[in-house]
Amino acid sequence: MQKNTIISIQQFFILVVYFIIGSTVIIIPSFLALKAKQDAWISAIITIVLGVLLVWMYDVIIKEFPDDTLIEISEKVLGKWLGKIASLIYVTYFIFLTSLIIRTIGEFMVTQILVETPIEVIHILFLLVGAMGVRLGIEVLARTAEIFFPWIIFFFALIVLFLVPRYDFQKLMPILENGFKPVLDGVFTFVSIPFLDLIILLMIVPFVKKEDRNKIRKGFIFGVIVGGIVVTSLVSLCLITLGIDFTARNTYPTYVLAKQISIGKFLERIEGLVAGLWVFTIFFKMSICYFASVLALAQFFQIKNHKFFVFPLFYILMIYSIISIPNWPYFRKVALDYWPYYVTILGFILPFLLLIVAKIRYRTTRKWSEKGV
Amino acid sequence: MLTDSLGGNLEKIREDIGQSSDIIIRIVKAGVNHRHGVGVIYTDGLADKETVQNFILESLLIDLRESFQKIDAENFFLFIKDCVLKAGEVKEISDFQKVYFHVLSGDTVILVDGIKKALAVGTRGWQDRGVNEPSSQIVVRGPKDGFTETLRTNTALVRRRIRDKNLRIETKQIGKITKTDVCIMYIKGIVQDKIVDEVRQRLERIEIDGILESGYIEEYIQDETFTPFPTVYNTERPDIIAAALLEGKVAILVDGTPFALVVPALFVSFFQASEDYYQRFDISTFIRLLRYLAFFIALITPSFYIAVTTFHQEMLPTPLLISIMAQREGVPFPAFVEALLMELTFEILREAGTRMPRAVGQAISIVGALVIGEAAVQAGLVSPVMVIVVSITAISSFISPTFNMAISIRILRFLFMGLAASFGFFGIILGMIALVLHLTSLRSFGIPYMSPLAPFFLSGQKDSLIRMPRWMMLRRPSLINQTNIIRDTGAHSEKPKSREIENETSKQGNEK
Amino acid sequence: MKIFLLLLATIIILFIDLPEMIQKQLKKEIIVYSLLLIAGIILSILHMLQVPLFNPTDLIVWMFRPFVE
Repeated sequence: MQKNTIISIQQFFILVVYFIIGSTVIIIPSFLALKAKQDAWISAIITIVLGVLLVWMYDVIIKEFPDDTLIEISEKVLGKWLGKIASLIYVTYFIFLTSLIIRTIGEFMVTQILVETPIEVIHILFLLVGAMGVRLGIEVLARTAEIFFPWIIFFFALIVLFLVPRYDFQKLMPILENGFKPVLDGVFTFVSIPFLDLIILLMIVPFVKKEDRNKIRKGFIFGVIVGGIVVTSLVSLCLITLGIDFTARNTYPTYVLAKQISIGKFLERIEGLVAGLWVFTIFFKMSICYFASVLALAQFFQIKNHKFFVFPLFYILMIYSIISIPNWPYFRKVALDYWPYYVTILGFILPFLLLIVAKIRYRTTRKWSEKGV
Repeated sequence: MLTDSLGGNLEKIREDIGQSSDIIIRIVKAGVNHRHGVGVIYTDGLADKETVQNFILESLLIDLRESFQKIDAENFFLFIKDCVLKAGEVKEISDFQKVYFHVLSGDTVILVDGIKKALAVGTRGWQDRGVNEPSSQIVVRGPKDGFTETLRTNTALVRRRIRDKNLRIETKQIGKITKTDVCIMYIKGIVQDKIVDEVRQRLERIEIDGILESGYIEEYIQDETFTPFPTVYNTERPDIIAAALLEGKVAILVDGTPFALVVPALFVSFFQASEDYYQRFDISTFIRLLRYLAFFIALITPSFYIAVTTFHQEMLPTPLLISIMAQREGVPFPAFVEALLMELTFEILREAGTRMPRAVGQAISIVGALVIGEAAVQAGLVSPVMVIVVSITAISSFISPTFNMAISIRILRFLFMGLAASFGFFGIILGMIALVLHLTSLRSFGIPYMSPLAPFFLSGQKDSLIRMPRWMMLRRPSLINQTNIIRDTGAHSEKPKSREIENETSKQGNEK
Repeated sequence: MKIFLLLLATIIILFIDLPEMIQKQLKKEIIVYSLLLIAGIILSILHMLQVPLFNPTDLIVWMFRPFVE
């Protein structure tokens, strides 16, 4: 385990924000509009609250095992064999998630911006830079994320501001037209796309500086809230400028949204800026997942130096980013209907079980840290 | 080891040094009745002739005539050392290596017959350039003296600015053959001891035959070799060295070059000109932000042009797009080749301009202006927009206050052009990410290169992208410095009472 | 052509990683590393030859079909 690299609590917060925003902003607005119609913003707000509660639960696990990653925790709590099975499930999930994220940006690029470039080439470039970051370690990734963070927030705010002339709040009416059922459907979708995936950050928590340990909960929750607000506001922006139907039917409503910007005839066509923002945020989300996959794989095989797994995993990610999604409508269907169940098991039920087992064994034995395991 | 026979010693020295015509060996008979044979050795050109004549040879030949009647060799030697030589620096040495070292450094060595020891007298003084205005980092306001090729002069220039007993200068010789003097300078009590130790260790490890410029040292002590970015700062301005020492950095001065090194060097320090601290803070802040902007422009303007013309035409406003496309009509190359051609031409011109003899420089600029500006466009090889792009890039890359940071952009620019040509903005963005990943992974003597931007320190922001007023920067940079952090007690953070002066003067005026 | 490029990339990767592993005599690392790398290469070649590969998305669909319907 290489835990001598350290990240500060601000950097951890920033990583959480990137994780919430990245790839979510591409997928979620359309999904939410589809499920919850004009009440998408209500489900988004409920989801943030749920997300905070979820992170609270993760934090209880973190408090119990401050020095361990998710893989180490599951092997400690569930014993050798059960633990290995749980780890394997998580490793495959991390790798799968990483390849899906890569595909999200690849698909976006190929359909909207670089129409003539083969998707494989885009994936290779994207993954190469990611591999470079992962090899350099989480410390460097976190610092790089920190440098870009003010710009991301600045340009995001700029987009929100530029769209002001096009706001039309009438499009949100009537509120709760079809009762609460659609809203809850929306919540289930939104929770599953970024928030339940947050379990992957349990691979990174042990790298947080020792003196910042007691602030993890604050940073984590604050990150979830800030990221959630960014996504929620983008969802609402889509609704109030584009309308429900258009948002729901379009694959990339936020990109279309930026095309609407027109200030005084000269500030037009700045959707490239938006595309750039998505590349940044998705890159960092992908790097976090890539790093977590590499680390999880190394810990699964009980190997100290995870750096060596970056390139072997490169091939696997590359292939799976292509083949796991034969076509985009299929992905939309899976992400909308099947994915939530999958991540609910991995992101909520399994950690919850871990926590309960840990608490029971904690009562019968002494504290984990004292046992020195 | 020296023997007690003067003739034997001189014979050995002659043998070792060979027939070198610049080594002067003079044998004089000194004392009453010329009883004592004395050998005087110095290097012509390195030793100051006046000093050797007036204060050594004259003393030996004239002053000694009148002294004791009888004295043995031992006492004669001590007498010379303590009473006769009119020089400040006299050292006793006893082996040949030391003799050669001192003679070849410009000192004069005195051997006395019958004594196994020799005296090395400090007579260093050679022709040098004198303290001139530095040619690389020019200021409008600020001191105009620059380092010279002589180490002593350079240390003196710094010492003159910092009159503190804690300013330490450690000297050692590096280079098996050249035996170049290398100085480590720091202020004890401000600098972190760890960093000084690290510098000492890294200098210790250098095994090389010769050091001709501080660049040799830089390559040996830098943290990362495979990077286009400099992790060691160099300057020929003593005021910059003094400011760096006050911040708790370590300076390395090398004999034979006006360029001194400063470690640790952070990314932001390459954007801080000394003049930033001599001008008003608001102006300095503006200029500093301008530098970062220019850095960015110099880095990506050509690639931006390539990306826009090849991939993202829709991003331009239609009239501009039409005019650019009309201009590119006759150009036979794709934008990438066009940009590459022009950038390369410009790089060649620039290099030619720096290495050319001064007199031909004029010709180069005329040819350059004609080739780039007029002929290429008229021949339809490049579009006028491309010329503008190249000019903006060129001007922006000249704005950097440090030359080595400007060079690194020149290389990276081509990388970005390649990325833009194959992936458009996507390539540029990923290139930027890769660049920042690389930058944040760098360290300079253990200090993260991108600090205080990442890892972020609020206190460090006062003097990185912007410059706050002096009285707000009460502490020294926190990463470099941890022990003695208070720079100023903050007595001036209150506004002066200028109102009262006006009241006072007007009162006096009324009384009159 | 694609396979040739793939092998070229693999050689470059081996040049980056292997020397350090051999120097530090990390036996376990080398074994796992080569296994994964070989797996990756085989997967890539199969994909290039357009052999249908196992798709995790289909697995998810199969697993959660009862819930959705």
